[in-house]
Amino acid sequence: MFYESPIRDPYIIGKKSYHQISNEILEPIDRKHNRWWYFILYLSIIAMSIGGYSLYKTFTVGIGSWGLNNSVSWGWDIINFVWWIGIGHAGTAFSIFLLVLRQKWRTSINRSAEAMTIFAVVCAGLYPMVHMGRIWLCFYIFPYPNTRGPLWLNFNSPLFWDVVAISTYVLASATFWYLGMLPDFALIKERVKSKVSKFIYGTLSLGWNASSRNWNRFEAISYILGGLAAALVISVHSIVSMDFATSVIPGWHTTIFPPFFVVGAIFSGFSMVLTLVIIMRKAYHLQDYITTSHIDAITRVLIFISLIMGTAYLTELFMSWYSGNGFEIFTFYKNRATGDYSIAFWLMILFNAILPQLFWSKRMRSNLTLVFIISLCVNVGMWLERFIIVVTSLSKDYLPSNWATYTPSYIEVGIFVGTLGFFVFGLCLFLRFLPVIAVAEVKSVNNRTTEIQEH
Amino acid sequence: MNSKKFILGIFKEEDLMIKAIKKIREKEIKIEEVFMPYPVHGIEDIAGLHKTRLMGAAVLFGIFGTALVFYFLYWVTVESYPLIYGGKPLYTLPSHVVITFVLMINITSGLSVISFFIANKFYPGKKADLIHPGVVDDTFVVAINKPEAEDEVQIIMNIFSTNGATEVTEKFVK
Repeated sequence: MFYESPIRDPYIIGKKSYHQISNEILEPIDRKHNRWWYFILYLSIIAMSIGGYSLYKTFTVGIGSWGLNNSVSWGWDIINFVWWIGIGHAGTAFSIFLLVLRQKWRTSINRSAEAMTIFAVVCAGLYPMVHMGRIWLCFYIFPYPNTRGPLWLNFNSPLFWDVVAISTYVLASATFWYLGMLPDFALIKERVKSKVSKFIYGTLSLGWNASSRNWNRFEAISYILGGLAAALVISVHSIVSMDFATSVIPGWHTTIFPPFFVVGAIFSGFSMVLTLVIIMRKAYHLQDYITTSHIDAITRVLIFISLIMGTAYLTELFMSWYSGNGFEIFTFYKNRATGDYSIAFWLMILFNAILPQLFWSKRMRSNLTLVFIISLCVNVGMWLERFIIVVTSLSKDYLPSNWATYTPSYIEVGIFVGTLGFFVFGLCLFLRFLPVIAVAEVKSVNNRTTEIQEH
Repeated sequence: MNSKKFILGIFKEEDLMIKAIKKIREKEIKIEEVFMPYPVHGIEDIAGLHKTRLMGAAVLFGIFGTALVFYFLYWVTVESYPLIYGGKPLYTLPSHVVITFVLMINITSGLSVISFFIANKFYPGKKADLIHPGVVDDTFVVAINKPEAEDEVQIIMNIFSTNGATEVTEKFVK
């Protein structure tokens, strides 16, 4: 008569002792890595070099070296900026939302998700600086008492809100990530043999002694930073959306943008975490910690978010028609759904709103190859979404005589390749030198390994 | 912990440690500290240990940060160098809310982290004085000030031994 919910799968598979958990998770730090790790590291360095050269050309030649023009004044720079920021919300979503919601299954994934956040947000933060043109004057955007008046900034502008929000987000995320690793650094320091490693990890652990006072304050600061950063997730991407929503461009000036962007950011973040976690659990034999139940839970969340994205797309289409505004109707129906960029538009719909619906099937969710492919599709789909938003609206806005097409120059592509290289480089170093799973937190959700003798 | 001699009960399981702590508390013996490889929720209440006031401090930092940023934005937009944007009023509270909110988070998290470091006496290069090398790995340690009376010492050691402690020892901590 009553529905009996199935027993939850264990957070960790197998009866493992705490020492065994430490050994299995920290094993990559203890050993030399294989050729694959070095190969990917060198590839990422090559990609960063391409990015470095592209940045050099941008700074010396100027923004004219990009494919931008008077009409399409924002191109791959802003598309990639928003894409990276979206991915950067993964760590906060996994780590902090799930912490606040008391979801213990976060413990296997939060550390790598937070690492991903840091590298993604650093990649994102490059773009607002670089797209200014005269980056050596970047200090103009910081509010400090100066001799130019003192000339302050426009505090009403979302472009400045971006500066503050993203700086705060980087700081808060990096702090949360680092403080979470204090107990693990203390553990690694006890394990490593070389004096240099002991010194480095000991310095990083700041004198952690595992007392209840340390832990009590640790949990308090986790909840404080977590609560603050959770609010930041909503506000940062709402602020980024305001870069568009506070304009008058058709297709941009719509009130759905703040929640639409926030949900899209969490969507792309979750899918990137899925991509990385599937590779990581296979490469580092962490299947007992990042179980198929974890993958199952993430794919279920992806279904839900994909439905919201689909609803948002339909809402935009409906409201543009319902408004009767000729420019809005043109933008959505003539410029996006049909027209020059229709392939990108329909691919976006397919990848973001339709493909993830396959995860309603348990068989599909259990097929890790399919899950991996769909997560890659979602990553591409979210990039296409930002492309559709930025380029289509700008290329054909109010005045037909100003209509122009946009093609990225090899410099812009090179900068993007460079950011991808930096992201992978950072992840390689993270996987090599830092604890990829939160060891202490995972132990707290472990099953008991010894029987208690009752007296 | 001040410099003194401690009796240490060393456990390999959280449940066994908690059982022992409850038995110790029944005898109204004060527990100086508990060391754990992961946080055990509620241990401060069970063992009668110090609870942090960091959460309350964070609220105060937030109020301070909000007030500071609101005043800063007022001073900048109205007194220091007023600029007119599109005929809008100088003090635009709705758009200031965004900056205030984000900077409040910045200030609160910064001050909270500094307080965390000061409270724990953390600094780069500090030598971690681990009461037992296993406390960061797989060992739970309950530390009690060694009493003067020998029979009290025996009671404590007996409670530890009969409640699953793998080792009961004495240690001088500086």
